[in-house]
Amino acid sequence: MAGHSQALQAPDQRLGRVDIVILAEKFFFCCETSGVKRGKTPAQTYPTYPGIRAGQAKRIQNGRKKCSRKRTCRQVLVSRLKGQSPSSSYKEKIASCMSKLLQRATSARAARRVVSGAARLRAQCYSTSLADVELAAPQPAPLCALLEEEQAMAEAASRFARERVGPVVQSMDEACGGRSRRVIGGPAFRGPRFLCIGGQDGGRRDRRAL
Amino acid sequence: MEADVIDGLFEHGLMGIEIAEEHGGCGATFTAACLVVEELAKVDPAVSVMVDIHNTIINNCVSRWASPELQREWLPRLASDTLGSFCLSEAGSGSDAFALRCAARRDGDDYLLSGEKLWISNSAEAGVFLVMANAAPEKGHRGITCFVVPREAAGLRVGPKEDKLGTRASSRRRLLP
Repeated sequence: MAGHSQALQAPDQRLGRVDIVILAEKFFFCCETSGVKRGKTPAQTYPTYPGIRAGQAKRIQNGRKKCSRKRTCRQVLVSRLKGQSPSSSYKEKIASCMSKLLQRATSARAARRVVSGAARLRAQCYSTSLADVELAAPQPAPLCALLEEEQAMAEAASRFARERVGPVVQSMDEACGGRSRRVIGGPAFRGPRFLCIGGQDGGRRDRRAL
Repeated sequence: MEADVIDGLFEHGLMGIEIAEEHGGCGATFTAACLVVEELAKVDPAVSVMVDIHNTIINNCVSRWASPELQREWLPRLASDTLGSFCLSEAGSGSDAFALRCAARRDGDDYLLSGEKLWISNSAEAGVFLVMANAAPEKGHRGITCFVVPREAAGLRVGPKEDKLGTRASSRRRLLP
């Protein structure tokens, strides 16, 4: 999972930046809210959760500081999960914090969307580093989801293939000469006679024939 | 390959999928190109191969690495009526592309290419060839350069048709000096 990142944008609004770091057995979830008015000092709130060591928190703070150069950070929520999925109480705690943070930072509707997507985000571990990864929608689109224009192109190609290519496939194929058809029907395809099988085994090893 | 099929592909915008709209293309994604290739391959892999080479190799090469002048000259044509062909393989360098022998020598404002290319897809119908040749042999493979060669370039000859067992409608010929 490490090294894979995905940036998403919602068509209507940008909710904030979400960075997720996946390590082998660790999982950092760092959600930064955006939309802060310039000139306001960001609130230095770092909720602490059991299991976060000082060094890790510092790394995350450093990551946050990098983002704060743009002065768009307001509050940072950091959680760490070990190995397996978090307990339900842990999830509730995270959801609660996220809700409060995001409701203050953006619209209530936006906050609800983020919170509702939090559980799925935990399961679907994207991204990678504390560098800026802009996420506008909490639910990343699956890789198999096509854009409208991609779907349209595929349909146009399919229609063209059926209507314009299909009727002439055979004639185009046959117009390209007939030698290989004779080859297919020839001795080389009737048995192992001309393959590299020695005479003692019933074949006729003949390199020239090959 | 029937000319009607090729014309139809251009008319339907299936040959300039990733080319920017300012150059007459669709400005769509690589995924769109893959989907088009997939849909065509369901009916005729030969057509699919031709579209694949044109969109994902030729158009991308020119869009990404050609000079702005070349892009202005060729991208509108590649999106509208000119099929491209990618000329890399030689008798002694198929998989080992760095071993190619085709050489390019500076001659005033031009380059003279000398060498022979083999198994060149789309070569029968192509209007432009992207030819790989070494313009600086002393640099080894780092001297390999891509040249945009119009079909009407002096000295360029397309060899006779080669018979194949599959994708037979997809032309694959030699390029001769």
